[in-house]
Amino acid sequence: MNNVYIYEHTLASKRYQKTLERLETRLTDLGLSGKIYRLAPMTRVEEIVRDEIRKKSKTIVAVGSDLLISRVASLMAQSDIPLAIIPIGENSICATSLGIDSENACRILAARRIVTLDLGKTNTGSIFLSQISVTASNPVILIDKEITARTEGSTNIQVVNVLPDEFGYRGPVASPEDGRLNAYILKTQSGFLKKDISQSSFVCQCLEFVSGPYKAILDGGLETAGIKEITVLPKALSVIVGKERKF
Amino acid sequence: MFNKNGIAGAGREGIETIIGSSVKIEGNFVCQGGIVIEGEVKGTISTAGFLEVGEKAIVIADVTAKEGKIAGEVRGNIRVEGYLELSASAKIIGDIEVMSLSIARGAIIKGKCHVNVGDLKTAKNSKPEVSNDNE
Repeated sequence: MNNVYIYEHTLASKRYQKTLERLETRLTDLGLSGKIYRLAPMTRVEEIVRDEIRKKSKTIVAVGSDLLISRVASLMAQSDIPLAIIPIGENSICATSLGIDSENACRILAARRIVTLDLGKTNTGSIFLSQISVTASNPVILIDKEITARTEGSTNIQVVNVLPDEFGYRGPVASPEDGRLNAYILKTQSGFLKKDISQSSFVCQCLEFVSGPYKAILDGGLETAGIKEITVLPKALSVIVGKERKF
Repeated sequence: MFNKNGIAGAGREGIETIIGSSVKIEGNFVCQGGIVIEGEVKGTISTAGFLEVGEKAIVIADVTAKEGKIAGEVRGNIRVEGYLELSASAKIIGDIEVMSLSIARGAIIKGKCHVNVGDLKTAKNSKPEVSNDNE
């Protein structure tokens, strides 16, 4: 059983060449080297991940941005194999939330501190590790099939499994180990200088858009449509995390 | 008195739910943590933590909480196991059952007020020590 590394297609750019050389040297030094898949823009990561799960690889390591990390995490849901993350490129919300930064990612992988985390799931089958964002007009939201929340005008609804501290929403800090999601309903002042004028916060297992469906943005900026319901998948993913994580 | 969980502002420990000023809620709230209400709520509210009702909030619900601070309007019966603070802007239309109470000048209460009733779990079967109708 070996580690398997999946490189995001954007890492083929010359600007990442030295970073990847340093990474591979460090992994070899730590005795962590393994098979590398270098994705091309049209390569389907689904088949790679499913194949490696079937072969019972030791660890599947997503190397790149949140877009790849979230995609791999969603494909690994309910599998026994741990996901590891090496963030390269744009700031990774997923990695930061889990206490991982690019400097220490190899050391964290070597330490193999494995936790089992919840994931979020939509009615369309999309899965997210960190958050999903929906912007809706006059939304009516059913929380845990019990409580109805209404707002007027354009409203942003953030459903969070785990986020770094700097997002600073009011209310409880989201924990990906509590079997619940945090829903933040944000009403923003219109105009050039947009600022939050009201924020509501709920901890729930299920959130249904009675007035939906809506478009949504998942981890890493992936857009998806037809979102009507968001639920939690408790303890769905084993992940190697850093000790700097905030949950 | 309020413990550290009852201090207003962002990042409070113990808060489970915040209902912002732009949100209208209907339903039965049951939670273990604190609830801050700045918008409108209809239904029932039950928390093992503290309840804070903001100045512009409107609550049409029977309320049960461990501790409370009310600055807005509550239409319903209020039962608080510990300390309840009514600010000057508070308007209560309903009965209050509480262990310890402070009422700021200007607060309005239309209903019965039972203070220091001992064990609130058996309070329904016992006579209140203090009864105050202020209509």
